[in-house]
Amino acid sequence: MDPAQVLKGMLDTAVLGALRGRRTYGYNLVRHLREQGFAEIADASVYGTLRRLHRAELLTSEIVESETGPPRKYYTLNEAGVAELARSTKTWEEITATMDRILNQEGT
Amino acid sequence: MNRPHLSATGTQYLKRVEDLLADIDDDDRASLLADLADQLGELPESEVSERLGTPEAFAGEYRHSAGLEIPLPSPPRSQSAAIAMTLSALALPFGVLVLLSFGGQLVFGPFVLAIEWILARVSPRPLRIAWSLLAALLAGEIGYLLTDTHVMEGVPAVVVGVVVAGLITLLFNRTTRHNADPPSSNDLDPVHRR
Repeated sequence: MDPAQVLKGMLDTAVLGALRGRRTYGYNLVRHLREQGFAEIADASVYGTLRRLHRAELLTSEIVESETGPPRKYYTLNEAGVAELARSTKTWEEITATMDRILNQEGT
Repeated sequence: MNRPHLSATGTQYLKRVEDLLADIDDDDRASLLADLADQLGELPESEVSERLGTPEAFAGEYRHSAGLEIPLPSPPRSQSAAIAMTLSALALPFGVLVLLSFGGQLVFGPFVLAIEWILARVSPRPLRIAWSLLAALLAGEIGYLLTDTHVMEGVPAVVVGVVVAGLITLLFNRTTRHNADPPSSNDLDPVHRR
């Protein structure tokens, strides 16, 4: 099984979860996700996912000037994003519970 | 734009991604390039392609994840097509002369129309329109000549002549329409992906 493919299906949830309670910009989010163990993640897919979630009005953005580089776009979860994260988390928990049952059941 | 110091590889990579995403929203592109510049500024030159893939792959993955369509590149125009277009342009004035000289005789009409059709098929849009206009004139002439025969006379002959002219013009335009035109946005596959 390719972990990158599994992660791809959960990337929206991972990005929403990583943004919970924090304000950050794209590259910082990439670093954070990698530090959390998503080493296989395609960086471009994180940037693209941020853009899509922002367009879906699940994120709020703010341009912040930087002393070391160009202005950066910082993202935060908004109310709709928090609600979506709650729904995604519930779905994820149901899937993992089902998978646990399937993988751990004894043969009959 | 104030950007972190980048290696030659990093600068080229950033420029290529910028070019590949030239069609997306300015704000989205600027935001992505700022993040990417940060990343390229930290990556050793030798690890750029290993970590990010090629600029084409990076831009493709970004579009895919962002839910953006990938524009199809314009089909390259072959040398033979360019020659055909030039010949078609040069033939246009002759087409007018041929129409004036021979088109008035019913027996030559279909032959002249066939030549115009072939030239319209290989012509770019403006020339095709010119050929179509010529063809419409000829079709009208054929319709008129049909009313001038002894087979049909009076109002029925005029009606048949107009219908024949209309059908010829319609068929001419429908069969030459898509040949040399670039694909419109409606022709693009909305789910075309890398």
